[in-house]
Amino acid sequence: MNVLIVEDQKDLAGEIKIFLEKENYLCDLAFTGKIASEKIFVNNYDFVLLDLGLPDYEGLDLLKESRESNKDSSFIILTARGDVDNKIKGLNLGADDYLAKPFSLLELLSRMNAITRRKHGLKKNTFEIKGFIVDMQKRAVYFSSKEIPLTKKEFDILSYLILHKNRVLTRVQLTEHLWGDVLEENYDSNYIDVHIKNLRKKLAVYSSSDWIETVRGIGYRINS
Amino acid sequence: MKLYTKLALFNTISKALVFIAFFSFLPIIVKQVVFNHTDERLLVMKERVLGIVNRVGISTFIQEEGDSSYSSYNILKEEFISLEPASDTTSPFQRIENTQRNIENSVVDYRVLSYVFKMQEKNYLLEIGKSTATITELDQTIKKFALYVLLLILTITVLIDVGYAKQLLKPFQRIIEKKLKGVKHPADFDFREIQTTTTDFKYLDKSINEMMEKINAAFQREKEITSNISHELLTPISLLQSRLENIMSDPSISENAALKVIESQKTLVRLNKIITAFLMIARIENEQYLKEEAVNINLLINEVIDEIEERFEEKHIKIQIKYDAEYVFQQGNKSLLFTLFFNLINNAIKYNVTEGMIIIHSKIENGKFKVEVKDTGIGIDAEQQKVIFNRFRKHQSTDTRSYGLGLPIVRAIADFHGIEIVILANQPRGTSFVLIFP
Repeated sequence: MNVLIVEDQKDLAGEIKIFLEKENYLCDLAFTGKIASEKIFVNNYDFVLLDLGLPDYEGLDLLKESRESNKDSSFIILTARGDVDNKIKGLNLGADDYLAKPFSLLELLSRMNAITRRKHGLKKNTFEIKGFIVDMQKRAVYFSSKEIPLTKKEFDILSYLILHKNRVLTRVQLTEHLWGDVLEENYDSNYIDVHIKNLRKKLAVYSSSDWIETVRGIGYRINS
Repeated sequence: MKLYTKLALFNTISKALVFIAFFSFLPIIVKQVVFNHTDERLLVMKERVLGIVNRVGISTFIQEEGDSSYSSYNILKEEFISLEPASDTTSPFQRIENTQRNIENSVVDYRVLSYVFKMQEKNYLLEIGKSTATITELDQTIKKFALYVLLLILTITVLIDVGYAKQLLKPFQRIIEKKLKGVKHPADFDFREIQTTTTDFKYLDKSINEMMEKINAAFQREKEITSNISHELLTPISLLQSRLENIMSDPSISENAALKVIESQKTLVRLNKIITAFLMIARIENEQYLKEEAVNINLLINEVIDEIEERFEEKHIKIQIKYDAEYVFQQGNKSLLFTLFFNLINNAIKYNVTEGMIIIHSKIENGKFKVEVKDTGIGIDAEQQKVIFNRFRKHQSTDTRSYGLGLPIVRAIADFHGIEIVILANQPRGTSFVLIFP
């Protein structure tokens, strides 16, 4: 899939490119609004990651005109300005999602995957791991067709680990996913451990839950 | 008291005073007028009597022999005319005065014109009288009439004055309603001119507009500054976070290095949260947030507790919730109110003891909805209570314990929503925060 990264911070654009290319995305860069505008006009991108704080272009204008010329692309707004009304304006102008800087690259990838699933109406919404069936649509987990009651947070952690299986998710990444919107400066990522402990306990009632692997000092991983 | 009420009141009182003064002078004036009028009448009658006397001769009225005289009264004794010889030594004169006359055994007050004249070498005295009883009667009628007319005039003019003053002050009223009372945020301000022909109001309107433009510009500048600071600080953090994430996802990284990267990530996240907190406070004070959601406070508290349940669990803290009253904040910002309760309850956990207790109680007290968040933690002494909401607290206190930006955020959001916060000591230990809703 093709991605255009519109970002005047070259270093940041570079980091996003490195990350997404590992995930088999083809990345193109545009450091100014003018170049971005031309590239969007000429090419067909699956994703346009758009920084609103461009020096030469009003980001929302670029979004508006690009949306018109490129109806099939998905737009994700990235901004550090954090103006409260920008988020609403951006979504109203047809952006598919909005991420406030700084964001976790994994979170960006998750949002992109979610958009792809939504767009292509991917039917595969259930995952099977060692006898456990995880239904993403219903947000439920079953073992031999018996539902295991999980809290919202426990399900969020489980599904995030499943969507990024075979990858170590750090506590910071999981915390950002779970509490990213909550503003709290005395930040402690160890609360994740409490949820993982409870999650394992609930799953272990039915079968071994050691497929949720602890990576010491770093985070968690689901192998399959 | 409103300006137009004051004007109307002043008008009424001053007019009433003038009327009272006029009324107290009225008897004198009326008497003067009535007497003048009577005197004129008497003089006219004198001329007519003398005319008759000249025509028919004095002898018709006066018998030759003796000193008998002529007099005539009407039946009601309202008037009389008498003619009699006068002593020759009296020189001719004329005067008008009030005297009493005894007529047919009754004393009557008269206004009498006395006139001595010479005819055929003899002096005669002519007296024409008019009863003053009729004059007094007339006087009273006039007074009564005047009283009614004046009262009527007073009422009408006061009503007209009040109406006019009200009309005149309407633009002023509009300036107050539209430009001062109705404005909650500089951006809401209506710069349209208020229609008036009164130059004072025009000037006032213009001055308020000019002032508001300045405030607006300052607000706008502040908004740009926070936006720029936000961009300048958060962009490098974003870059670092992405870079660290990329380093972490490199499978060749040693375990030791990975742990160091994780620590750096945590520090970076903390730095980000602090900056975001500062920016949030600045944005709240700059009124950049909307307030247009109806928020059910009890439900919101439930959401917050769901969000941080693991923290209760981790510290083995019991929570007790008592909702004795329901309250929907009509024009609020849900995400800000969420942050308020999150910080408040999170603080209650953070400064609590292990296996402590938190009590959340919503109730109506003195007609106001209140939410109390009590903890059994370390407590806050009176000295600290004064500075706990101050974001620069550390510069002013020797206390080394930091409460961070959680409570300053709580205060900013509460102020933004008009919520009052009271800190009480929770007996026997701990702290109680009471939120009093508007």
